[in-house]
Amino acid sequence: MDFFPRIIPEFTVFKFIARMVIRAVGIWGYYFLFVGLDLFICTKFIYKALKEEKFETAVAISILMLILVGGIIALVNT
Amino acid sequence: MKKFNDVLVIGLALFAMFFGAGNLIFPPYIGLLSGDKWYLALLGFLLTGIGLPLTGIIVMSKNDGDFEKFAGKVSSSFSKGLGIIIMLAIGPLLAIPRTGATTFEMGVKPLFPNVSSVVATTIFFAINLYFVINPSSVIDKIGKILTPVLLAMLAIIIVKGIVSPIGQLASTGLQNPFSRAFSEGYQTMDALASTVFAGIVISSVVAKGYTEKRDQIKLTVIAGMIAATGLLLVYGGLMYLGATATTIYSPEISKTELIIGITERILGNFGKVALGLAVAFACLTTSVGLTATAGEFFSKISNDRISYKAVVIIITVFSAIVSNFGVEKIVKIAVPLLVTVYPVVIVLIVLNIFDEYIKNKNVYAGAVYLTLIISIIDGLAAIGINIKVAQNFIAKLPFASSGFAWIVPAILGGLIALIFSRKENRVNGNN
Repeated sequence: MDFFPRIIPEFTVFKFIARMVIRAVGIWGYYFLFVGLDLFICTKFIYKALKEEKFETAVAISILMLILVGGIIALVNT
Repeated sequence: MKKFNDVLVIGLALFAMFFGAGNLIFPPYIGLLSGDKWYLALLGFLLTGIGLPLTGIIVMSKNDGDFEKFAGKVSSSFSKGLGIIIMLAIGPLLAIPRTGATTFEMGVKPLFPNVSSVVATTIFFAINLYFVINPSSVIDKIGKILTPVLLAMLAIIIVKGIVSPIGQLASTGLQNPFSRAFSEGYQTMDALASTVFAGIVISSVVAKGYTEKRDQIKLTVIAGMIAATGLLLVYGGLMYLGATATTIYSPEISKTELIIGITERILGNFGKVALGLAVAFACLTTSVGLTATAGEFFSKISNDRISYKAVVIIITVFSAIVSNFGVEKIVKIAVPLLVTVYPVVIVLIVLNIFDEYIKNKNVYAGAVYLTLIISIIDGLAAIGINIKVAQNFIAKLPFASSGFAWIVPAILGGLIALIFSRKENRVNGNN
């Protein structure tokens, strides 16, 4: 029985947010916003890790940062 | 100089353990689909197919290669259960028997059509046992003996294919080669293997006399980078070969037929031999790595009541039997298990990267358990048990169509755990 849609008619809250952001800043703005946010957060932690001389953590966060940037581009594209 | 040699051998061994037959067959097909945009596909594949496993290796090195330390932040029993499922699913239940079966199908049968599969796989697993029986020398044997042969065969195929391409690069009209390859790289599930391979890598580093933790981490990270560089070069080369075949083969061709066709066009009759050897050595190195890892794991969780040697003999014999009489049946059990645990392991890798900065360890449990709920529903669907209500819900989650429905629940799970434990602390007067 497909009763789920009656409880939450459409799980579109994320699409709604995405649409609002895209309307406000355009598709390139959307990319820059999320990629920028990713870069900002990850760079902060990379800096912290380097300051504590945890190089392996800095390398891992750098790779994760690139994966996230790629993911944002790939998933939004699809 | 000793350090350089040690890290090079470990890096090469790690490359070879990651590089199975699937990793040989798949990139040319992505290249074929991407055509003249093969470099965009390589970039996407680089991030998830190489970046994720490399991150797994780094994270495991921080945890001394110990799966219990890696997953035990959720709970000790969870870590044991997850470890057993992963070891069984990528070990004797799936990858190890498959390596034997694939070597026979692609490496032996085309060259020696009259040899039976029982004979071929018995020889394959006897060699496998020879390489794994002594745990301290597994990495050295892979890195010094097996990997050079594998690399030589791959180099012959790739370099000849680049020097004398079989065709011209052409546009295939594929809209998003980067996105497609990004998703396909994730599907290789090599990140899962990274969490188990790290254990024998660290053991090998320790056996080579590096007793300081900082040295162990440093060497493992550098070895991981060597392996990643090797994978990048080989994937890039194979994708390029696939891209040069766009005007020759249609996308409907099977992946196996494509790599066989390409190598024969590049090297003529010797192509069969080169590909056969490349497949056999790719399979053998992966099989040796997985058998040794599973041997160490099961011996450890039995508190050495079952010796390493006994475990590797049992796994080898079991895999030899399964590879002849029922890989397909057992794949039906293993694949849903892998589908279920894979997102959980990715979440654990990401959280472990930031472990020093996650003060509240409940975040692990929150993120992992919510991810697990989504994965179990996906896993059940993979064996034909469809819970329609739950699947409708999952289908509406962000990124569900790309296979990443677990991302938002994982974030929410972590946040919910954080908020609730803060409230609890406040009620208990701990804050």
